[in-house]
Amino acid sequence: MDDIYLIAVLSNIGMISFIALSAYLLLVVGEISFGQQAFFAVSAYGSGIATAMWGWPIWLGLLWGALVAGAAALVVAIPTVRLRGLYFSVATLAFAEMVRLIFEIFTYQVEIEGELVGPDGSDGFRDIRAIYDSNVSDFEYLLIIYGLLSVVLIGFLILERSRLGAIFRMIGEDPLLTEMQGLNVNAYKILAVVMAGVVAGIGGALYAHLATYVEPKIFNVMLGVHALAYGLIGGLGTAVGPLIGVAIDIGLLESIRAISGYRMIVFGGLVAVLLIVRPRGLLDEAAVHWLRGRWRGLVRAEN
Amino acid sequence: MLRIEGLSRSFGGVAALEALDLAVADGEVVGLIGPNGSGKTTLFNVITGVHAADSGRVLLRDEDITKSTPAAIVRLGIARTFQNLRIFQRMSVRENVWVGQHSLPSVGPLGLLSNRSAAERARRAEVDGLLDAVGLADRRNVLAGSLPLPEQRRLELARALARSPALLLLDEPAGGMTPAETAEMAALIRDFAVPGRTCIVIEHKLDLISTLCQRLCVLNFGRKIADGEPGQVLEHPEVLEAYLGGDTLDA
Repeated sequence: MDDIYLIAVLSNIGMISFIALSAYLLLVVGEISFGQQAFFAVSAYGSGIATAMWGWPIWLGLLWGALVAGAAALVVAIPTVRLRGLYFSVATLAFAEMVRLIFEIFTYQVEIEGELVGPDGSDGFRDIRAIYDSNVSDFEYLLIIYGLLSVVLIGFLILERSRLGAIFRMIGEDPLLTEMQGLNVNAYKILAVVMAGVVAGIGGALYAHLATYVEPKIFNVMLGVHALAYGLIGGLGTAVGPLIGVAIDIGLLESIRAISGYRMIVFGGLVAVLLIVRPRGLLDEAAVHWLRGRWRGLVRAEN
Repeated sequence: MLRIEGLSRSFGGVAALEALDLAVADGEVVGLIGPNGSGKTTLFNVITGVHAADSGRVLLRDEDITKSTPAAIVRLGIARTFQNLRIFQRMSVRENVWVGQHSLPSVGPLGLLSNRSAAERARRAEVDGLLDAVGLADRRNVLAGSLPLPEQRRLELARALARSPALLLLDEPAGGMTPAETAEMAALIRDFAVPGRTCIVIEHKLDLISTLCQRLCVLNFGRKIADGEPGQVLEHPEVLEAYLGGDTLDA
């Protein structure tokens, strides 16, 4: 295995981890979204437009992409917040398909150095070259991806132990009982959807700049379905769960060439088996609770 | 504390509450009894905003809360437990009490994120105090779903008290318990939950009611048929009729 291939695989794992965390956050609040790819797409386009067309620096483009994705999520969250279960899922799917179809016809180009740059409908958006223009190597970009992923992951881990994280879990388990603790369930659900949109957006912006080219069909529903499956495989007890899911899928199934042809068969089978034997994934709440208990025991033994 | 005026609520043509009037004074402990389906839990659900009232008003300290959301009502100082037990099964015992504090004004937006502030440590100490009081101190790190039923009921009580509510609504706090467990629960409620607050208790078990309540209110088919001192109420002919027609009082 050569270095370039390894860097490409690791970059891919890193970028997909963001959309996995995004879908995971909604699974925690008890909702299944088939539409997180829409926020990934909105940010990919938004950040690409900012850097390639408006000449913004890369870091500002990433930030802008994440913010636009968060704003799109807010637009989705307000009308759908009262929907539960299947109705919420269908609404997110419909929204994502709508976004994809809009990008199929969305054309916005400007001439830069004699060439037309910008989204061109179904032909996609080429030449998002910011990282190459500023001489960032693939390895350096890998570090940027994992740096941002670490920040987001640490944020999730802090959230998990905070009251806000507990509120998200409470809503996922019993919305009425959550309301009965004096908490406005709909407001917190909107917050979760927006946060999930921002997280997916960071991944989308990183993706657009590494690939330099995006087109609407990349952001089809299969991306969203995978994002969901990562949490369901790796576990819903902690944010580390979906990352394990990504590592299993992309790290093992897609990247080991001998088995990559059977990826979807193995992956689909894995999801089906886990849903039956461990419906909340490998690291479910009980497993995480047990691990924390062991950890506390170890810390106490040390002292 | 609480005043209910002409409250009605029906489900698909069946009247669960019919023109109900009830006033509960500060510090009073009222037992709410009645046969199954007489509207007791519906009354709790309407007071807490889970179900909307068809007509009538609910006033808490003279403030009309009939149309408020459950969250807003809880923040005004009402806490309740549930007949069919509601706890967060996937959280630890300690977290189940801790969650009761989330919406306290003293927590605020920053408190929702910080784990290490002195105020947060003080609040966690309060949680441990409550667990101690209901006898769950050594169970605090267990997942709540794995507790046996009597302990789950005590956990629910601790969670309801976490906000220091002015009005406490207990829906069959000893449901499914043995006589010994019931006596323990009654003592716990009397000595720990009731002092300093107003309380309405739905219960079938007479020994619990007689331990706790100075006043008894009987519902039948959504109407109040008796209200007063327990001794008199239980002699009331309509009450005897309602019960002996179907259930016995200790059922």
